[in-house]
Amino acid sequence: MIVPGGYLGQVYQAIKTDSKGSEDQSVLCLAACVDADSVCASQLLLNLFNREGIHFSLVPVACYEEVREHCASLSDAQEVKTVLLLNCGATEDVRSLCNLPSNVRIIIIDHHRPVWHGHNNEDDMDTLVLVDDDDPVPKPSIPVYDQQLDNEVAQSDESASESDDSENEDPDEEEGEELGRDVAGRGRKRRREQDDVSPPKRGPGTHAETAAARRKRAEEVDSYYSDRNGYGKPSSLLLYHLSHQLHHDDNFHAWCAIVALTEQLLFQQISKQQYNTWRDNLALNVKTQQDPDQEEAALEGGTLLSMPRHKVQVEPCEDLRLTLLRYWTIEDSLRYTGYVAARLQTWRQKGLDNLRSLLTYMCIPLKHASTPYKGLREVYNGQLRSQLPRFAPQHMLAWDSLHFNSFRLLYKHEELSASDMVFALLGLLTEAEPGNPDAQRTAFNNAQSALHVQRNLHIVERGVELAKQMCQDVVHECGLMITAGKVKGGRAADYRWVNVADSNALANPRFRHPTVLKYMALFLRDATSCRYSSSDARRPMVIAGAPDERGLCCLVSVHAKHISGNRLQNNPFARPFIETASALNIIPLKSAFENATYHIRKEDVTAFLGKLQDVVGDYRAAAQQAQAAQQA
Amino acid sequence: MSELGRRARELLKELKSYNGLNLSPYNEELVRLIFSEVDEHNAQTEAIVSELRRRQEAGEEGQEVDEITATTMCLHYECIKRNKRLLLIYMNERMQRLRDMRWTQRALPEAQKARCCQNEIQFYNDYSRALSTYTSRAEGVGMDLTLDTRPPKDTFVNVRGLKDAGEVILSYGRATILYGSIISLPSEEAEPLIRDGTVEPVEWDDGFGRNKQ
Repeated sequence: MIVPGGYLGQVYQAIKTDSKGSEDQSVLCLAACVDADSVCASQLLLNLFNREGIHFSLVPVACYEEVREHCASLSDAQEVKTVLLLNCGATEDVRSLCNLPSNVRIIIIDHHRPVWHGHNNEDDMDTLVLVDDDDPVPKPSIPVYDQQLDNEVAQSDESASESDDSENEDPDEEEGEELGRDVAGRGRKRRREQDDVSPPKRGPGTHAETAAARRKRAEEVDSYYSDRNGYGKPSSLLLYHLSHQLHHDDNFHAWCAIVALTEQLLFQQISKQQYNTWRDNLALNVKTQQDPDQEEAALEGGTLLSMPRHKVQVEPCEDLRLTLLRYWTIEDSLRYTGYVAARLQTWRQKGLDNLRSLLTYMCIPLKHASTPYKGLREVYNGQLRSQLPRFAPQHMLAWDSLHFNSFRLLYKHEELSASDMVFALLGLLTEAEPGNPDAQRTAFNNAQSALHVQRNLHIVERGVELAKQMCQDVVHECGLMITAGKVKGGRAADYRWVNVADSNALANPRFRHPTVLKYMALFLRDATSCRYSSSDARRPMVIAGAPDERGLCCLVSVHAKHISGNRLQNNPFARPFIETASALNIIPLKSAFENATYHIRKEDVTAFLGKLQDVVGDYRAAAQQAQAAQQA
Repeated sequence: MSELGRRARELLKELKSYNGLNLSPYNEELVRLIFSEVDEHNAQTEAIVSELRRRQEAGEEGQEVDEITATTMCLHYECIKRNKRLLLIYMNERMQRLRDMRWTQRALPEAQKARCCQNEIQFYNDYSRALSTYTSRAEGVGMDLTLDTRPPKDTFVNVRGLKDAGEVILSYGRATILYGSIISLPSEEAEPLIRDGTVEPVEWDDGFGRNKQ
């Protein structure tokens, strides 16, 4: 059942009562470990659990196979137990995936969309998915699960596309490939060729009705899945509202929510308007948290010597969207910010000169621009903020994209802005440790500790260093890729793609992690379109990452246009990926939690990319036909 | 004279090689040799001093102590000091280890006992008695402080798994300990696992508002 956010309090109470009453009192939490939102959400949740005295066990997971592994022990559980999935599980039928009996209640808090419509079943009290009302894909837009109708659709679909069916009915399926087939099978159910419905063997009158109902249903499901691939409300925000309801308000919880929201903005997973709406909401909450003594002290204290703050303070501020400005030099920060680097092409000497000319226009001496920001005097900070809007347009930068409303954290002498924290967490999460199979869990744990700024500031600093490395690597390697012509798909292509294995970046172990690849994809998308001309429309981008020790490559894709308003940022590659995989009989060995990321073997990568072109071409042709038909 | 202080250094190196809560066998022989070395230094110094005194009494001219004699005396003195220091370090380290053993384990294991000299066993017994008195209900604080590795802050403790230890049965149900997973346990049950090294306590705060300065 899909539960609107208002009922989160009740869900929580249900968890409590279940756990107190059962033999096995702990809650098993499985958290996706690839993005900062899960780190924040898990921290929030665990903090709540600690305060309320609920036992838990948290395991970071990276793919659905691991989820299944961890739930394996529960498949014959006798008692009532709760399993909580954070940022995983909404897109799949987890219950049947893991063979969990109905006395195990599954609660899913996930920001990946689309939610599998099978969850939208009012009668199912044992699987709860939490979707808030102001989510880009709210509950009313999800088709209601109607088992009979869906089965009929599936049957007619299967009888229609019989050539593909041989796989489905293969009796010698192995366990490990079951998941892949499930996904592929569902993909076939979703794909709808309009002219393929074969009439069932019934009377002609009801026949037409049922056929029509089925077609309508199929279209509905189809359009739902093809248009709604993206991200919904960050889980941390949902959990923050929960903590608010339970009166466990704390700056820490607010900070977790803030960091998660900022991450979504930085990765362009939500639109700016949506971000602003949610951000203002948070700002109101944060204001009520502020400590009045601290404020007075701050006001009356002298300006020369600032006392270290002993309490952590979170306050709203307006921030520049320059990566890690405070931990870098002005010049480096401008040079390696994704947006600026893409527009000015700073990996080339010409771009760097351009950048320096911008600095000069802003009256910031180049010498000062290359000293660490923390050592600069306050005056340069002010100058940057005031002069950047004036001169940015001359250098092809839009001021609008360079600043945004955000928050910052003040503790002792440190000032940490939300985007700095996001990058620090990303740096820690994507720390590449080749050879260690559990590296992702360690990384996740490090990132979690980093959120506790009071004790673990050194971890935050380490994360910042790693993030700086990451930004530098991305700009340099991607720049090289562009100038060397490794980015395929020309000016007028449907989309552009690149295979990291073709280029020098193969050696860099960082380029295996899906999040780094996503960051790269966003950068490459902007950079390639700017290269052609500054008014070129952006195309979607697909990147095939470097193979890791097991020989798996990660493919990520990003959407092209930024959709404004409160609508979902749709990623158009979800279905083409599934189709390509099924056409080539490639089974993804590790299924990621979102639809736009695939892990396949490195030998299959080139074939996949080739076929993807054809598939996307077909889609475009079909869309054009549909358009022509509409106009006619 | 062979290398000065070599024996003392060997003594300490031997102790260091037994790290953790183990003691090296009390090296009676080497200690005695070091004492004899100290005595030798002492004898040499005495000889020089008596020589100088004799000269003084004899009223000879040129009473300034020449550099060689001064240096020699200083050297002997420093050697004596160094040997003494090293010996004291040795004793101290062993005592510290005995104390740690008392805190972490209840009784002195036989293997360790065999490696102590008589005085050390005496020390251990006295310390043990003092500690028991301190923690006893009658004369002391009334709590057995040796139960926790660190002062418990809460009834629950968050721990992080360090190895894949499999399923453990706890008071509230089962839990699987995996590398990198975080589990919340009641403090009493977490203790043996922490001592084993299966899990480690997690360094987290309880939100920003509750400052632990």
